[in-house]
Amino acid sequence: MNIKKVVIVGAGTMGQGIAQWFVQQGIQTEIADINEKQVRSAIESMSKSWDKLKEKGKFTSEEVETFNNNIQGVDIIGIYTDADLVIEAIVENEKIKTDLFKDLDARMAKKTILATNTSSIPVSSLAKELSEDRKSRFLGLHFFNPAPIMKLVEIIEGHWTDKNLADDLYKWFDEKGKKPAKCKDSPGFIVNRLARNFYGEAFRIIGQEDQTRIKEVDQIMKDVGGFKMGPFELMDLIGIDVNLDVSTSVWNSFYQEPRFAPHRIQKFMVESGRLGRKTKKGFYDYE
Amino acid sequence: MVAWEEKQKKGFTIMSDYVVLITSDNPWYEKFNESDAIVFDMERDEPFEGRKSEYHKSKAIIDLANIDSERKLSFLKYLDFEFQKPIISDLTLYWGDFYLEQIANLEGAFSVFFHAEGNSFESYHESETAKEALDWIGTVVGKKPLSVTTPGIGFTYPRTLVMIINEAFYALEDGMSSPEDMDRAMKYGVNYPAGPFEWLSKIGPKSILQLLDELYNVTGDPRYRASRLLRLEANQYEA
Repeated sequence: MNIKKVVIVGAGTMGQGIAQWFVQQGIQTEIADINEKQVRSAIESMSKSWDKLKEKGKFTSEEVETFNNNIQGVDIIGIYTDADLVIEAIVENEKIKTDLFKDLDARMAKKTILATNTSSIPVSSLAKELSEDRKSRFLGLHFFNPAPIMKLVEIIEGHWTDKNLADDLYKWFDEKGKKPAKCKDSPGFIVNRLARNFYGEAFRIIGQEDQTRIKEVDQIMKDVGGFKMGPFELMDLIGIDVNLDVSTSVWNSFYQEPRFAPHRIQKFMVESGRLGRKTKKGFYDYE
Repeated sequence: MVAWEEKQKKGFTIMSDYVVLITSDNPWYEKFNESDAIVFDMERDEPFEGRKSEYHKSKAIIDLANIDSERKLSFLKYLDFEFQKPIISDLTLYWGDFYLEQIANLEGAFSVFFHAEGNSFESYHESETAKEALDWIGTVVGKKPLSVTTPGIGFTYPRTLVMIINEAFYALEDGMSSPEDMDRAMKYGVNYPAGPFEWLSKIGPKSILQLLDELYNVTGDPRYRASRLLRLEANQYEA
């Protein structure tokens, strides 16, 4: 597999992180968004990040110069049509994503692989309106935040994805230092499915909102289990509303399977506006 | 021959604060056998025949026997009735709150049966004797006791862990991914200290299933229903 040109569509946190990682692999990368300001801001952030990493001795001045030359912000209309890979990291809305991929399908070269960074929409749903050839070159590439640092990339095979393509990408990411994990197109993929009970069980253990028990569970999972963060601290960081949305989405996708059932405490926290660090109040107080 | 028996053979008078009852599948089996306690292997030794004076001389009885729920309760009841000594029990796989209510001399509980990456273990005490015994257990296993409000059902870490591993088995049943890729995803996507199948290989499917069954039997909640594949693996493992 030879990937030389990549386009990232969506200049939000994930899009920016994914673009930064590709640039750092020496790959010519374009980042596009309907919001021009967002693109400029993403490029500035990447540039600042490289300067900091240069100060820390992680990159040389020459490398940073190459990185800055290899990233370009463009309007969606002006993207490389001969890119080897396009990764979409836009809003989690099936209709908007489907329209984007139909447009890309029509405009991009035959060889171009189209990929989605969705965490919740079935990959095969996004592929179903594409041309037959493109369907086999369509898959999920799910990165984790912050993308330049977190090593995992979930490679999601849709119904039509060419198995060899998924295998080749697996090898390619592995060679580039990522830790790829292949999975079928299934709700939550690997991480968002398997991690559900890290949070869900914590609620069943405490039973009701109890500050002493919340702290205790977090401490146990760190000091006994060796986890970097406890479930409640982590929910505060992710956003209790975001976590509830993911839980509800996986639960509904599995036809309300009890293993994935959200807990009333989550709902109560969201209803009372305590969403975690971003509102300065969650399971802990951040005032 | 364990440490205390060797000393006894050499003519030393054995003065130990604790009598330890353990099964050989316990990950700390060797460590306890090397300790200064009087240690009885539940399968190898006759732990009571002609040895009751050891129990009466001890400060407390420490139970690390991994047996099924019903036998564990009867066993603890027997220790309680027969010796009238403080009992401290590893209740990793059991409904600890219920046992504590049922057994008058059960003064402490702890959980060291599951492999864990951290440097503490969950502990619960109702008396100073139990607290001292838990500190002693900490010196044997090289971890610090972390005092918890209640053992609940299978404490916190084991209970959470079996749920993550059970889900990994359901995903495997669905053909969603491979064990290697699931391990990799959890370690590098959310920084877990190990992957579900790595934990499985260290703990064994039988104990994971036993705790899930305990959770299911106590709560009646279908979220604790074990995966078919996990049950199959646990049974094969046992065979």
